[in-house]
Amino acid sequence: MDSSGNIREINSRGLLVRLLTYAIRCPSVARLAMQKVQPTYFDQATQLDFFMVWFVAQQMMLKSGTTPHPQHLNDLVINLMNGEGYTDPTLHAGVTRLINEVYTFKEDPWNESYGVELLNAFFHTVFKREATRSTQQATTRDEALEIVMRTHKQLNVDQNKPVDPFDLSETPTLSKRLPTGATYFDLITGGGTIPTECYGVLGPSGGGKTLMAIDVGCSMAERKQRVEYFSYEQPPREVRPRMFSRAGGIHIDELKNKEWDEIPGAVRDKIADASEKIKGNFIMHDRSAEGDSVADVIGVVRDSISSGHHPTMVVIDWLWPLVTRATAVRSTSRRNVTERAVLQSMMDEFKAMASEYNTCVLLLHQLSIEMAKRRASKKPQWFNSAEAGSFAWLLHYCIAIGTQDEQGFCYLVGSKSRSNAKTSFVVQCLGAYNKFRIPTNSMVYDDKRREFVDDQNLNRMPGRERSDPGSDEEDLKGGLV
Amino acid sequence: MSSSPDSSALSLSDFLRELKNTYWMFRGLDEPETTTRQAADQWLKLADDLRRRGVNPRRYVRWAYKQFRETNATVWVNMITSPKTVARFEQEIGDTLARERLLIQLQLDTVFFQTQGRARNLREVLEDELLDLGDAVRYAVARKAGMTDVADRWRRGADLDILNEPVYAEALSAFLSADSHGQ
Repeated sequence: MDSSGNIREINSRGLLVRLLTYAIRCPSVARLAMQKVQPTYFDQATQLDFFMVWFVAQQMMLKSGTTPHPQHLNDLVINLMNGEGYTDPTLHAGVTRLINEVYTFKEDPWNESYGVELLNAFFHTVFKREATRSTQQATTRDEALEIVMRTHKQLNVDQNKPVDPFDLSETPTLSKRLPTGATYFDLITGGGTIPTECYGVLGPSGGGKTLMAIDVGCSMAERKQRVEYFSYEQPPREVRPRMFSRAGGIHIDELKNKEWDEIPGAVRDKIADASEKIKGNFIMHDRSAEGDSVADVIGVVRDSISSGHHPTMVVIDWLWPLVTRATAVRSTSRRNVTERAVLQSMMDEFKAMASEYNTCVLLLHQLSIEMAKRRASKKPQWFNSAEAGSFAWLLHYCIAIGTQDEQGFCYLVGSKSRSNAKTSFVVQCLGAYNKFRIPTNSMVYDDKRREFVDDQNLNRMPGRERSDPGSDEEDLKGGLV
Repeated sequence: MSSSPDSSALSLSDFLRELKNTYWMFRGLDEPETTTRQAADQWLKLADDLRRRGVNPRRYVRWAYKQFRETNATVWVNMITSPKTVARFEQEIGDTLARERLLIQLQLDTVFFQTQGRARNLREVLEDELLDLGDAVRYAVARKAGMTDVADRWRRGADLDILNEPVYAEALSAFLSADSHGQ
């Protein structure tokens, strides 16, 4: 749906009549409507006249390929209603009135984009209604989810529209990277994110996944790009201090384990100042206690777009609770197999969502236990994801965070993609400020000290002051000088 | 393969001196007065090879040093002078330079955003160690703004990049006047 559209929902009879008018009489919109609009999308209980008229009109158009004659349409609808037992004359009169309204509307030429906008708004309305209904009425959760997702796939006008890539009559839509403002993230992705793509971040437990998501999210929000952040692990009260720390450049100790009133006034002023610049662009959705479907995320994104706020990035922190919650209700003896199937299906849905809504999705996931247990000197591979190795393969781009040493230095490894070479470099996780940073000096892992060191303290042994880099000790290692 | 305009004009002995000086600059040491015969031969072979290929000697040493520093505490002469390193340089320098350009661009973008978008004081931005800014960018911007005290703090790191990698000199040329960096 075009975010610039003014019509968000079909919430009045007038708009519904206008929709039906375009669906029956405007040739280009009618072609779309014939394929996409099922009669059942009209609520039979409250919109029987629309249901009946569209049911007959659609059949006639599919058969003849042209707009039906109003009198012919009216007769067929009345006959059908009689056959179905709807013999009440007031119902018949309602149908006749509706057909008159549809055929008396005059617009020349037809505003096709307005017609498509009406269709999309209609689909949005139907999707919301169906999603609510299916979750209430379905006997199992699986069934409800299936209905919701099926409806979602059906309800998109542009989804299956063929594209002629060499037709330049309309300005072609091309991909352009959008810098997030987080330098290390932009560097590893080759310049920023591309809307419509799915990015994965793998990291060990407590290794900076959420931190990276907050850092990138805040950077984008500072640049007035909207971020929808779904927290499936921690409630906002736990994440907020970290967000304040990142946004205001405040040491986390100033905020940790404190109520708002206990925070010093100067710090609160800093938070207020930073918040003013971010407010309205970093939206957090608490899913720490509930939320087990992609449909829920899609619904939020749709609503956000409908209200005129196009999200540049959707963050899922983190993916596994979503998968396990969705799997928990399924009775299965092969749980791990089911989890993988659910994960793959969700990835597919996220990719479809990213493409459909022209937004990028950042999915956080765990690094495999084998890799997370290794030392900081070992570079993780971008495909070392926990539980389901296929996670990374399903993404457009995957970033792995290695194990951190005591100073927070760790490897950041990015996968190869169509437009970006495989790359890796050392970053420093500044946990106290909820940021990542590229160190200015080149870092190397010192096996003796089991940490990354730079030029300044290369030969300093634990407990020793900095030694002279040109000392004999160094030269005895066996290289040529 | 990129090369600086004057690299092919250097005589072999000048080329060799450039290679060695850059190497010792990165090591942070003075060149030893005596060296082994084997090391001298390797330097000479490398200089001859790179000169024929038209490679900028400083760019090569900087690239090789940074590559080896990822996994080795000390980068030895035999690592820098290995023919395998030269082959790898030819393969990877294109991607490396693209990444360097991108990094400089992102850092300048950060400075611009902080000063224009967030209306922060330039000195405060350049001194903010939480910001992802490299030495060269901090130095160049401070230099242009006439903040010599700030610039001097980042001079050593900036030297390693600006003097040895033409991409830096080129990307930051707007900030570095010809006489401001001893070039």
